[in-house]
Amino acid sequence: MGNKILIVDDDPDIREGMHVRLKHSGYDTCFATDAPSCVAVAREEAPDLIILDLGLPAGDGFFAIEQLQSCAELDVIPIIVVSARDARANQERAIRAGATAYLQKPVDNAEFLAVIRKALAKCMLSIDNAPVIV
Amino acid sequence: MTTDDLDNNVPLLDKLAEIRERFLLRTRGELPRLCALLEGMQAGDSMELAQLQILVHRIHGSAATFDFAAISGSAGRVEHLAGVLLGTSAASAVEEHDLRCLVECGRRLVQEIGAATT
Repeated sequence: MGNKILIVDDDPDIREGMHVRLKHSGYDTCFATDAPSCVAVAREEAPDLIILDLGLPAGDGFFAIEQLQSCAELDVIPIIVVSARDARANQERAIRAGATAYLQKPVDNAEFLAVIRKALAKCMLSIDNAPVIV
Repeated sequence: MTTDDLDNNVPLLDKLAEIRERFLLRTRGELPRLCALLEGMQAGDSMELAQLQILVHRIHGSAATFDFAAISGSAGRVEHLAGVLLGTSAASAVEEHDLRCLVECGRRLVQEIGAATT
Protein backbone atom coordinates (compact mmCIF):
# COMPACT_ATOMS: atom_id res chain seq x y z
CA MET A 1 0.00 0.00 0.00
CA GLY A 2 1.36 3.41 -0.98
CA ASN A 3 1.35 6.65 0.96
CA LYS A 4 -2.08 8.07 1.60
CA ILE A 5 -2.90 11.56 0.40
CA LEU A 6 -5.88 13.62 1.56
CA ILE A 7 -7.26 15.79 -1.27
CA VAL A 8 -9.18 18.82 0.01
CA ASP A 9 -11.10 20.64 -2.71
CA ASP A 10 -14.76 21.53 -3.06
CA ASP A 11 -14.74 20.83 -6.81
CA PRO A 12 -15.57 17.19 -7.59
CA ASP A 13 -13.82 17.23 -10.96
CA ILE A 14 -10.59 18.53 -9.45
CA ARG A 15 -10.76 15.92 -6.72
CA GLU A 16 -11.22 13.18 -9.27
CA GLY A 17 -8.53 14.54 -11.58
CA MET A 18 -6.02 14.56 -8.72
CA HIS A 19 -7.16 11.12 -7.59
CA VAL A 20 -6.58 9.68 -11.06
CA ARG A 21 -3.08 11.18 -11.27
CA LEU A 22 -2.10 10.15 -7.77
CA LYS A 23 -3.51 6.65 -8.06
CA HIS A 24 -1.56 6.21 -11.29
CA SER A 25 1.57 7.07 -9.31
CA GLY A 26 0.84 4.54 -6.60
CA TYR A 27 -0.75 6.71 -3.93
CA ASP A 28 -3.93 6.00 -2.01
CA THR A 29 -6.32 8.91 -1.63
CA CYS A 30 -9.10 10.17 0.58
CA PHE A 31 -11.17 13.32 0.27
CA ALA A 32 -12.62 16.31 2.04
CA THR A 33 -14.58 19.24 0.67
CA ASP A 34 -14.13 21.97 3.27
CA ALA A 35 -12.07 23.00 6.29
CA PRO A 36 -14.13 21.25 9.02
CA SER A 37 -14.31 17.96 7.10
CA CYS A 38 -10.59 18.27 6.28
CA VAL A 39 -9.76 18.04 9.97
CA ALA A 40 -12.26 15.27 10.62
CA VAL A 41 -11.04 13.17 7.69
CA ALA A 42 -7.39 13.78 8.60
CA ARG A 43 -8.09 12.46 12.10
CA GLU A 44 -9.90 9.42 10.78
CA GLU A 45 -7.67 8.53 7.81
CA ALA A 46 -4.24 9.62 9.13
CA PRO A 47 -2.96 10.70 5.69
CA ASP A 48 0.75 11.05 4.99
CA LEU A 49 0.21 14.31 3.14
CA ILE A 50 -2.56 16.82 2.46
CA ILE A 51 -3.27 18.59 -0.84
CA LEU A 52 -5.29 21.68 0.00
CA ASP A 53 -7.20 24.21 -2.09
CA LEU A 54 -7.49 27.70 -0.66
CA GLY A 55 -10.96 28.57 -1.95
CA LEU A 56 -13.03 26.33 0.33
CA PRO A 57 -16.52 26.86 1.72
CA ALA A 58 -17.06 27.14 5.49
CA GLY A 59 -13.69 28.80 6.07
CA ASP A 60 -10.95 28.96 3.44
CA GLY A 61 -7.72 27.00 3.10
CA PHE A 62 -5.89 29.28 5.52
CA PHE A 63 -8.51 28.44 8.14
CA ALA A 64 -7.99 24.73 7.38
CA ILE A 65 -4.21 25.08 7.82
CA GLU A 66 -4.77 26.84 11.13
CA GLN A 67 -7.09 24.10 12.33
CA LEU A 68 -4.68 21.35 11.28
CA GLN A 69 -1.71 23.08 12.88
CA SER A 70 -3.57 23.42 16.16
CA CYS A 71 -4.03 19.63 16.49
CA ALA A 72 -1.10 17.78 18.02
CA GLU A 73 -1.48 14.66 15.92
CA LEU A 74 -2.17 16.52 12.67
CA ASP A 75 0.39 19.31 12.71
CA VAL A 76 3.14 16.97 11.46
CA ILE A 77 1.34 16.14 8.22
CA PRO A 78 2.90 18.06 5.31
CA ILE A 79 0.43 20.34 3.50
CA ILE A 80 0.77 21.26 -0.15
CA VAL A 81 -1.46 24.16 -1.14
CA VAL A 82 -2.71 23.97 -4.73
CA SER A 83 -4.64 27.07 -5.69
CA ALA A 84 -5.59 29.30 -8.60
CA ARG A 85 -4.97 32.33 -6.40
CA ASP A 86 -1.99 34.48 -7.23
CA ALA A 87 1.10 32.93 -5.63
CA ARG A 88 2.68 36.35 -5.09
CA ALA A 89 -0.14 37.33 -2.78
CA ASN A 90 -0.71 34.00 -1.04
CA GLN A 91 2.37 31.79 -1.06
CA GLU A 92 4.21 33.49 1.77
CA ARG A 93 1.09 33.57 3.89
CA ALA A 94 0.48 29.86 3.29
CA ILE A 95 4.06 28.89 4.17
CA ARG A 96 4.03 31.08 7.29
CA ALA A 97 0.76 29.45 8.33
CA GLY A 98 2.38 26.02 8.10
CA ALA A 99 2.11 24.80 4.51
CA THR A 100 5.10 22.90 3.14
CA ALA A 101 4.73 24.08 -0.44
CA TYR A 102 2.50 26.22 -2.67
CA LEU A 103 1.62 25.32 -6.24
CA GLN A 104 -0.41 27.58 -8.48
CA LYS A 105 -3.00 26.04 -10.79
CA PRO A 106 -2.55 24.82 -13.47
CA VAL A 107 0.02 22.47 -12.04
CA ASP A 108 2.33 20.50 -14.27
CA ASN A 109 1.98 16.81 -13.44
CA ALA A 110 5.71 16.16 -13.12
CA GLU A 111 6.17 19.15 -10.81
CA PHE A 112 3.12 18.12 -8.77
CA LEU A 113 4.49 14.64 -8.16
CA ALA A 114 8.02 15.86 -7.50
CA VAL A 115 6.82 18.27 -4.82
CA ILE A 116 4.77 15.50 -3.21
CA ARG A 117 7.73 13.11 -3.21
CA LYS A 118 9.99 15.75 -1.71
CA ALA A 119 7.49 16.61 1.02
CA LEU A 120 7.00 12.96 1.92
CA ALA A 121 10.74 12.28 1.97
CA LYS A 122 11.35 15.29 4.20
CA CYS A 123 8.63 14.14 6.55
CA MET A 124 10.13 10.64 6.75
CA LEU A 125 13.54 12.12 7.47
CA SER A 126 12.08 14.12 10.36
CA ILE A 127 10.55 10.98 11.80
CA ASP A 128 13.78 9.02 11.35
CA ASN A 129 15.79 11.75 13.06
CA ALA A 130 13.38 12.18 15.95
CA PRO A 131 15.05 11.44 19.28
CA VAL A 132 14.41 8.01 20.61
CA ILE A 133 13.31 8.00 24.21
CA VAL A 134 14.53 5.00 26.19
CA MET B 1 8.51 6.30 -19.64
CA THR B 2 8.48 7.54 -16.06
CA THR B 3 5.32 7.44 -13.98
CA ASP B 4 5.27 11.24 -14.14
CA ASP B 5 4.99 11.19 -17.92
CA LEU B 6 1.36 11.54 -18.96
CA ASP B 7 1.96 12.01 -22.64
CA ASN B 8 2.17 8.32 -23.54
CA ASN B 9 -0.33 6.98 -21.07
CA VAL B 10 -3.47 6.62 -23.14
CA PRO B 11 -5.85 5.19 -20.50
CA LEU B 12 -4.88 7.93 -18.05
CA LEU B 13 -5.19 10.62 -20.70
CA ASP B 14 -8.60 9.25 -21.71
CA LYS B 15 -9.78 9.38 -18.13
CA LEU B 16 -8.52 12.93 -17.68
CA ALA B 17 -10.19 13.92 -20.97
CA GLU B 18 -13.45 12.50 -19.64
CA ILE B 19 -13.18 14.58 -16.47
CA ARG B 20 -12.30 17.64 -18.54
CA GLU B 21 -15.41 17.22 -20.66
CA ARG B 22 -17.53 16.79 -17.56
CA PHE B 23 -16.13 20.01 -16.13
CA LEU B 24 -17.06 21.92 -19.28
CA LEU B 25 -20.59 20.50 -19.29
CA ARG B 26 -21.05 21.35 -15.63
CA THR B 27 -19.71 24.85 -16.12
CA ARG B 28 -22.04 25.42 -19.07
CA GLY B 29 -24.85 24.28 -16.76
CA GLU B 30 -23.93 27.15 -14.46
CA LEU B 31 -24.26 29.76 -17.21
CA PRO B 32 -27.90 30.66 -16.34
CA ARG B 33 -26.87 31.39 -12.75
CA LEU B 34 -23.84 33.37 -13.89
CA CYS B 35 -25.92 35.38 -16.36
CA ALA B 36 -28.58 36.06 -13.71
CA LEU B 37 -25.94 37.37 -11.32
CA LEU B 38 -24.43 39.57 -14.03
CA GLU B 39 -27.87 40.94 -14.96
CA GLY B 40 -28.40 41.83 -11.34
CA MET B 41 -25.03 43.63 -11.29
CA GLN B 42 -25.96 45.50 -14.47
CA ALA B 43 -29.15 46.68 -12.81
CA GLY B 44 -27.00 48.11 -10.04
CA ASP B 45 -27.51 45.34 -7.51
CA SER B 46 -24.24 44.51 -5.83
CA MET B 47 -25.78 42.39 -3.10
CA GLU B 48 -24.78 39.14 -4.77
CA LEU B 49 -21.12 40.05 -5.31
CA ALA B 50 -20.03 37.41 -2.82
CA GLN B 51 -22.04 34.73 -4.61
CA LEU B 52 -20.55 35.77 -7.93
CA GLN B 53 -17.05 35.64 -6.50
CA ILE B 54 -17.59 32.12 -5.16
CA LEU B 55 -18.94 30.93 -8.51
CA VAL B 56 -16.16 32.41 -10.63
CA HIS B 57 -13.45 31.34 -8.19
CA ARG B 58 -14.44 27.75 -8.76
CA ILE B 59 -14.49 28.25 -12.53
CA HIS B 60 -11.11 30.04 -12.39
CA GLY B 61 -9.36 27.21 -10.56
CA SER B 62 -11.01 24.31 -12.33
CA ALA B 63 -10.60 25.80 -15.78
CA ALA B 64 -6.90 26.28 -15.11
CA THR B 65 -6.58 22.69 -13.94
CA PHE B 66 -8.29 21.32 -17.05
CA ASP B 67 -6.39 23.51 -19.49
CA PHE B 68 -9.12 25.97 -20.44
CA ALA B 69 -6.79 28.93 -20.30
CA ALA B 70 -9.19 31.50 -21.80
CA ILE B 71 -11.99 30.57 -19.38
CA SER B 72 -9.58 30.57 -16.47
CA GLY B 73 -8.19 33.98 -17.41
CA SER B 74 -11.64 35.55 -17.77
CA ALA B 75 -12.91 33.98 -14.56
CA GLY B 76 -9.80 35.16 -12.73
CA ARG B 77 -10.44 38.74 -13.85
CA VAL B 78 -14.08 38.61 -12.73
CA GLU B 79 -13.02 37.06 -9.42
CA HIS B 80 -10.44 39.78 -8.87
CA LEU B 81 -12.91 42.58 -9.72
CA ALA B 82 -15.58 41.06 -7.50
CA GLY B 83 -13.07 40.91 -4.65
CA VAL B 84 -12.10 44.54 -5.12
CA LEU B 85 -15.74 45.61 -5.22
CA LEU B 86 -16.53 43.56 -2.12
CA GLY B 87 -13.76 45.41 -0.33
CA THR B 88 -15.15 48.73 -1.58
CA SER B 89 -18.76 47.92 -0.68
CA ALA B 90 -17.75 47.29 2.92
CA ALA B 91 -16.69 50.90 3.22
CA SER B 92 -18.98 52.73 0.80
CA ALA B 93 -21.37 52.36 -2.11
CA VAL B 94 -20.08 50.52 -5.15
CA GLU B 95 -19.41 52.78 -8.14
CA GLU B 96 -21.59 52.22 -11.20
CA HIS B 97 -18.55 52.31 -13.49
CA ASP B 98 -16.87 49.53 -11.53
CA LEU B 99 -19.99 47.40 -11.73
CA ARG B 100 -20.09 47.96 -15.51
CA CYS B 101 -16.47 46.79 -15.76
CA LEU B 102 -17.34 43.70 -13.82
CA VAL B 103 -20.35 42.97 -16.02
CA GLU B 104 -18.27 43.38 -19.20
CA CYS B 105 -15.65 40.94 -17.92
CA GLY B 106 -18.41 38.60 -16.88
CA ARG B 107 -19.93 38.69 -20.38
CA ARG B 108 -16.54 37.82 -21.86
CA LEU B 109 -16.38 34.88 -19.48
CA VAL B 110 -19.82 33.71 -20.63
CA GLN B 111 -18.60 33.89 -24.24
CA GLU B 112 -15.43 31.95 -23.41
CA ILE B 113 -17.42 29.20 -21.73
CA GLY B 114 -19.79 28.98 -24.67
CA ALA B 115 -16.97 28.87 -27.22
CA ALA B 116 -14.75 26.30 -25.48
CA THR B 117 -14.34 22.83 -26.93
CA THR B 118 -12.84 19.66 -25.51
